[in-house]
Parts: sequence; structure tokens; C-alpha cells
Amino acid sequence: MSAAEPVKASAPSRLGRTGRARFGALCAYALLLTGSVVMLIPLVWLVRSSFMGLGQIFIFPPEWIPDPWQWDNYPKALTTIPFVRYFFNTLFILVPTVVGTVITAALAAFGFSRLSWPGRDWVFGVLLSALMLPYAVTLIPTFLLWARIGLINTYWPLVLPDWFGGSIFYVFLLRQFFLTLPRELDEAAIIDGANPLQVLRHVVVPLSRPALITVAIFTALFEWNDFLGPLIYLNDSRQFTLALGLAEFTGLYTSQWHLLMAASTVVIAPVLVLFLFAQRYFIEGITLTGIKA
Amino acid sequence: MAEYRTRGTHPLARGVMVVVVALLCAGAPLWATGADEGASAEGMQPAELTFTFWGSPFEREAVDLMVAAFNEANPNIEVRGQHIPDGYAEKIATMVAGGTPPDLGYLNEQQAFLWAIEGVILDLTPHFKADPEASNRLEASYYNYDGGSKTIGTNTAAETMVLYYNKTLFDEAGVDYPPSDASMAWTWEEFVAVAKQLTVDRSGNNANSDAFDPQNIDVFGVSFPTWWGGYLPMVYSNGGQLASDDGSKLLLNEPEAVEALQAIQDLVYVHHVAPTPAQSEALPSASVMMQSGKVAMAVNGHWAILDYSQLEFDWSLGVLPYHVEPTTILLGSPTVIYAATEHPDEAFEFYKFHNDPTEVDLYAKGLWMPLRLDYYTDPSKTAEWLDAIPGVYPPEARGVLIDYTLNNTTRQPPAYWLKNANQIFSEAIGPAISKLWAGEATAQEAMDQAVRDAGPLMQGRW
Amino acid sequence: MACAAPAVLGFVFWQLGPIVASLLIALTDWRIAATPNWIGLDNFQQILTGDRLFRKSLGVTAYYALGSVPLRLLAAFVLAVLLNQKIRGLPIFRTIFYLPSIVPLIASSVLWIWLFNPDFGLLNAILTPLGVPRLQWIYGTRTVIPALILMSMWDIGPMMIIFLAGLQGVPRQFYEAVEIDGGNPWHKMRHVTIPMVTPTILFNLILSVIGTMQTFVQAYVMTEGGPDNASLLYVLYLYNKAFEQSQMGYASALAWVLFVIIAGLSVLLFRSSSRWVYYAGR
Repeated sequence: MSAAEPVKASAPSRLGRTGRARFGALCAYALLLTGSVVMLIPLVWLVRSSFMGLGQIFIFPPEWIPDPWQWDNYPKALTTIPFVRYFFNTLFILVPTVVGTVITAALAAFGFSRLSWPGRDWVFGVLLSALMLPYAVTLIPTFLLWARIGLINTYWPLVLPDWFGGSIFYVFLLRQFFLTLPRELDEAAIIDGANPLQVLRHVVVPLSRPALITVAIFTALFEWNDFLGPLIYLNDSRQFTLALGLAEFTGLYTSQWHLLMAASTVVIAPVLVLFLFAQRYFIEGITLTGIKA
Repeated sequence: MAEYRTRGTHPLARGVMVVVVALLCAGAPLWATGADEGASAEGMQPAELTFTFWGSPFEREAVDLMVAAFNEANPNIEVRGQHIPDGYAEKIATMVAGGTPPDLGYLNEQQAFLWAIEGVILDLTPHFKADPEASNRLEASYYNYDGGSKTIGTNTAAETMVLYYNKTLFDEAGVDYPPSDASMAWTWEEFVAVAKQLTVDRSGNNANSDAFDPQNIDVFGVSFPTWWGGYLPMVYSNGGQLASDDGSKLLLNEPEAVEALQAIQDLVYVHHVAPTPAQSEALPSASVMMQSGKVAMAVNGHWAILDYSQLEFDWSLGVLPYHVEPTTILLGSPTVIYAATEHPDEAFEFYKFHNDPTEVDLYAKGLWMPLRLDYYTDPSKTAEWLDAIPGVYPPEARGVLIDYTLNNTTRQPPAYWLKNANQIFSEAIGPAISKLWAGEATAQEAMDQAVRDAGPLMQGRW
Repeated sequence: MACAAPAVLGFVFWQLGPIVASLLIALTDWRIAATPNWIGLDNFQQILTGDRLFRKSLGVTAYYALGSVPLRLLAAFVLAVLLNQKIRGLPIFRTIFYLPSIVPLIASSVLWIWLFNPDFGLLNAILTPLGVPRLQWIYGTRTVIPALILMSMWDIGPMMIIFLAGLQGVPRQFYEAVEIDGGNPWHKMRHVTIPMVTPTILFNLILSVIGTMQTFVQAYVMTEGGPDNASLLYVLYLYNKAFEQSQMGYASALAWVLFVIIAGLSVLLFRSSSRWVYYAGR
């Protein structure tokens, strides 16, 4: 296996240099293709179900082609809940959340990695402990806290914490990346007269693009799919998000699986597009992160 | 190396900022407040009630219409329906803990009992006493506590357990359909014999044939649900009980109960006429498997008629088989009124209205059964739900859902009266039953385990 | 210090309170509705001495975590290395392997329940003709946890992405240095890639331990802890206590016991990290 060496499949001269490289590439492809088939099954299953009648989805032996194609599953699903309103509601929460998390988590991670101050790692450990208690027991106290402030039925409980570092998960993730950057970079910048914030913005951030984009993707996906937060803090259906709307179909006593599948397909489509778009920046990252010696 | 200053704000970042600002402005009203509109300043303010409920979009639609009709008919009351299709327990727990419970709503029965004892749920006894028409409901649908002196109310709607079947598979095998009259019900032996005739392997041999290959079954005679709705009627029918009437002792390891449970397990591992009981009840497996012609009969609740009526195949329903006495159970979950409501009388008005078959079409569509006795005894009223929509209820439904419900549901399931039932089911009975269905213990072994584990959990009656 | 301030303040504002509250609740018999009674350490005493399901669920969770964590780490790492090369269709492959994390859980649960069905499922339909005895999958006490581990292998997208981001951060000239010294791909993997991504490995290891120990939804949706409690994961047990039986005090005590275990494991992993994690910036 040729590790992280960039093998250019599009350049036959390079690939053909040795038989071993070709064999390695073949193995890699075989592995990836097999894996892809396994990973694709759920999506294929979801999408084909979204065009089927209720009876055909679970028929045995399974069928993969809808017969007949039930196109009206989509209009039916889309009118069962106010999709457009929920879509924009979700964006109202998602956009500020992602921006807030990326900025403040990067700040915090910088503070926990490249600056040294007394008790730093100890404080970090305490913050990390927030991930170690199951939500089931902190849910009610957290709700009571927001109720006391009087912000139930608003988006504040869903957004404000993300402007304060967000989940420690993201701070930890960025901390690990910041720690891999050579120390000399900061030092050189500081000699040039940069303050720590400038070091963060002009040295650390450009070199940590893949990690920052990872955080942005994860936050966006989390908010997109977050069910429990909106469930607990929102009472008015006009404020609901897509994840809450989707739950209309997934509740305990549901029977309209074909509509669930159609609604799910609509909900994941933007995510797929976002992901396809965002992962380009991983490739871009290769050139950006290379240190020009 | 000192290029760290040369790059300005990335265009992407600038674009993102613009979008953020635009969104924040556009969405500003949504941030400030939610439902505070509608508080009109004019004279009499209507009594505002919040009603929480779960269910599919289908149920939501029907309930929303009912709420609108109620608000229309009662200008002095304004009910706001809050649909919580998933995460109901968490949502209600935070509302109650936060001191802002709804005024009324669906609730898990054990939660309801517990909170009734603690004073969070209203005792409806005075309301029912003052209203003879409202109290004319199926006896078995009341959730009474405190020695029967108080009640948290009745089921939202009634449900019973029945036997669904695929007519085509019966016709092909040349077997008579399951009876729809309790007095003609199959004995367990007759039932097993029919199931064997209907179970066919991939070579076309049925379970009575010597060449039958139990490892390669194509069509199963019957499918049984794993939860108590499936096995409890059989236990009761054999003269067994789940727990003693005073709630002090589990009785599932007594011979009558063990015999009935063993008989169900034998369907899978001895007779090979039933598939391995699958855990998840939420899946439409049984109905769709039947439609696919892979299962000939299925024990399920009345509510499944809604599903069956949407699947295009020839199906109907009959009464359950029996051991000693033909028996089914009445089940459901309660609607409750919270003690904190400022408008208990208005809430009770809505309580009566919310499951009135003339206001909710879920009865006619096969999801709910009525609670009021006249909908079973008065032929013109039975027609209001059984005949309202052609193609929902098959002709056999009348026998199965009317007399069977009135006469063969004498024993209330423990959910209606056994204290701490959730914990007993989740920690003692459930594990043992799932072991039984997995074929890893006999009924006697599994139930001995259940009774042993339940010992410290038994707390009597509500 | 000032940089970390928002995160620290956020913790103090929104997390410290509920964390302390849950500890106090653990010392009561609170059942959500009525006023709680102070019962001291009774809940903890009951958990540690009289609760057979506590021990059972802890064992089940440990079994699940020991199987799932290493397998997922390994699979995610191998996948990330493969997807870090310049090959045709890279964006498509990356997206495909991330897919299982995007599909709504209810849809994928339904799919897995069907795959695992002993009589009608796809897995037995493939395996039985190959001579594998008919498996009960999630319906057998011995097979349910291996089945859930298998299912967890499928959702490695996020971990793969994090590894990928880590691999992207490895400076290219390190590989060039190995090439100049005449090293082969294995040397690059052994002496550059692995050491350089150890911070990412540490992150994924700790976070997957924390996450796996709190796994809940799969068992809740698919097995309800059965059969015979064989898949009674710790947090499922805790959830049942909290929201099905309204024993919030007892559930909080259970949560704190789990907290101590997870925190202990995390500290051990952090301590060990000085021996195997390489930070260029330290």
C-alpha cells in the first residue's frame, strides 16, 4: 500500500513505472469498489423505496425497481409538513451555529494548544468531561436553566452555546491539528511582529483548512439532523426544523413508510450536495498545507 | 516565509458573512418569540388549553381536524394541539419538570399512574360521576387507582387483539377461514393443524408432509408478535394470569401460563409453522409479509386494519384461537388531564369531544375503536364506524370487533392496574420472554427466571 | 488564556450547572414530578451492591466497546489512507463512504432489521447457501452484540473524515525525505504517516471510547436490550430508568458511575499518549 503518496491515476507514465504500483492501485480500487457497494445499499434502498407503494417496500424477496413508480409520494410527503418553512428555519439555526462554532472553537483550540498558561491541560480535561455524561440526565437540568432565563420557545438555546466554543468535541479536534503544526512557524511570525491572534489567523488557520472544514461539515450535519434540541426547546410548530418535521413520519406508530422514504430523500439531498462540494477543499488542502521551505 | 499577512479575507468567508447577516435579519421575528400571538385584548378571553398527542401524520391530520371542529363549536375555549411524534417521554418530562405541563394529552399509562399518585394528574372521578353520558364507556377502558376510588380516565381509544389472514393462501390450501364468532373459535390444536397445512417449504411440501424441510420454509402458517399483546390473551384463555390480583406476585410460572407460552414457542421450534418472532413491532413486517404471501395468519391489534386496508390483497380478520375460554384483551393508553390546568371543566369538555366518533374519522379508517358502549350495542351507531368507509372493514369485522370485545375481554391487562409495571416488564418479563422466543429456554425455565427477577419489583396495585 | 475564554465561559454557563445538578439529583429519589427527597448515597449503594442489571449492562457495554472501537478505528484509518491518494473518482468515493452517516437513522435501522432477519433477511439468504449455519443475528443472545458491532462498522464516515484531515496535514517533504533515503511505501507509512497522525489517532480513540460507551439508539430501536438483556447497553438501561420508569435520581447516579469509568479511561489514554503521540508543535 502506497500510503499517502499521491499516485496519479491519470498519469499512466507514473502508474506504469513499476508493476507493484499498478498492483497496489488495483487492490485499492477493488477494496474501494467492494466497500462502496456495501455503503451504497442504504441509499439505494432509501431512494428506491421512496418511489414505491407501501406494499412493495418490504416485499419478499426484495425488489429493487419500483413497479409502478409512485411519483406522487414526493408531493404527498412535501405537503404533509411545511417543508419550505422548516428548511429556512433550519438554516436560521444552522448558519449562525456553524459560523460561531468554527470561529470560537478555533480560538479555544488555539488557546489550548499553541499558547501556554498555567492549568491549561487541566482546564481542557474538565471541559472534555461535558461529553462523558449521558444526555438523559443533563437534559432536564439544561432545560430548566433555559426556562429560568425565559428563552424557551426561541432559537437562543440552540445557537448561543455555539458562540461559546460549541461542543468541546470540535475544540478537541482542532487542538489535535494545531498541535501538529511546527512550533517554528509561530515563532517566525512573532519575530515578524505578529500578536497571537494574528498568528492564529494568518499562520494556523490557513494551514488547518481541512480540519476547519471538517468542523464546519460536522456542525452543519449535526444541526441539520439535530432532533432532541429543537424538540425540547420549541413548542410552536411554526418554528420547527426539518429534523422535527421528519419525525412526523418516523414516530412510534407510523405506517406511511413510502412517505418517510420520500421525505428522507429530500432531506438528505442537500447534505449530499454540501458534502460533495465541501470535500473538494480536502484536495485543495494538499497544496495549501504543504510548507514552502 | 513571511507571507502570513498577504492574504485578505477569503471571498468565500465574505460571502458567508453576507448570508449570515441576511438570514439573521430575515429570521429576526422567529428569534424573539413564538406563540405569543392571539392574546386579544377584547373582553372575554377564551380558556386556552394545550393538548399533546403522538401518532403518524395520518393521526395528526385527523386530530387537527377534530381540534379545529372543537374550537369552532366552543368559542369560549381555544385548544392548541401539539403533535409530538417522537421523543414524547423526553418532551413531556421536561415540560412537567419545568412546571409547565400541558393541560391534557396522551400519556404512557405507567407514567400517568405515577404522576397521578404524586398529584400531577387530575382525578377525573367527579367529572365522570357528574356526566352519565361520558361515563357510559367500556368498563375495561378505565385506569383506576387508589383501590379503585380514583381514576385518571380512560383509553384514548379502544383496541383489541385479533387474527388477520390472507384469504388467497387459505383458498389455495383448501382450508376454511378462521371463525369470526367467538363461540366458533378454533381450539389451539385446530389452530396448529391449520397452520401446518398452510406452512409450505421451498419444494412445495406442507408441514404435515414427511418431506417437509423446516430449514427452507417459503410460507409460514402464522406470525405471532413478541410483546404481551400476543401472549397475554393466550395465557388468560388457558386460565393463567400474569400476576396475582393484589399485584404482589408474578404468576407466569404457574402451569396454565407456562402451557400457553410453551404452545406459542412450539409454533416456531417444534411445529415450524411460525417465523422467529422479530423484536420490532414498529415495522409493518407481518402485514406486508402476509401481502407478499409469506405468512398466512398474523396475530395483531385492531389498529393494523388501517395498514391492511391500504395493501392490495384479499385479507380479513377472525377471532384468536383459545385453550379453555375464548379470550382477547382490551388495550390502549390513556388521555389524561394535568392537575395544573387552570380550566379543568373546559379540559373535560374537550376530553369528551376528542374521542367522539362523530368528530374523529380514525374509527372509520381502522385505527381506533370506540369507547362508548352504544357504539357496540346500537346497530345504527356500529354502522357509523364499521360501514362509514367502504373497503376498510371486511364483513367479518362485525363479529370480531363487537361481541368479542364486549364479552371476551373480562380480564384487564396488567398495564391498567399493576404497580411498577414498566419496570417489571422491562427488567423481569421482557428479558425472559425474549429468551423464550429466541428458543434458548423452555417456557418453564424462562418464566421461573421472570418470577425470580420480578420478586423485588412487585409493589402491589395502583 | 483569553482565547480559550469563550469555551470556558460556555462551559460554566451551560454545562457546569446541569452537570452539578445531575450529581445532586443522583443523591435524591427524584421522579420528575414531585419534590425530591434527599437520600444520600443510597442510589450508589444500590447500584454497586444490589443491582444485577448494572453489572450486566456494564459487561454488555464493555464487550461492545472492545469489539467496536478497535475495528472501527482500523477500518476508518485504512479507508482514509486509500482515499488520500489521487485516484479517479475520489470525490465520489469519499461521499459514498460518508453516506451511511447521512441516511436518517430510522431508515437505516429498518434496513438493518431486515438484513438481520433470520427467516427473510439478506444476510442469511447469502450465508446459508455457503454452508454457514442459520444465524439468529440480533435475535440470539450470543450473536446480538457481534451483530451490533458489525453494524457499527458501517458508520465510520466521520472517523474517516477526521483521519483524512489528519493525513492532509502531513507535510509532503517528509515523504520526499524518505524517498531520498531510498525508503519504500511501507517505510513512509511506518516512519512518516503513522507518527504524524498519532494526534488524530488519539482523538479518534478517546472520542470513540466516550461515544461507544454511551451507545444507545441502535439497541433502543432494534433490540430493546434483548434477548434476555444480551444487548442491554448501559445507556439504554439508564434511559429506561430515566424516562420509562421516571427514576431520574437513580438514572443520574447510574450516569455518574459511567462518568467516573469513562473519565478514568480517558485519563489513562491521555497519560499513555506521551509515549506514543507525536506533536510537531510541542
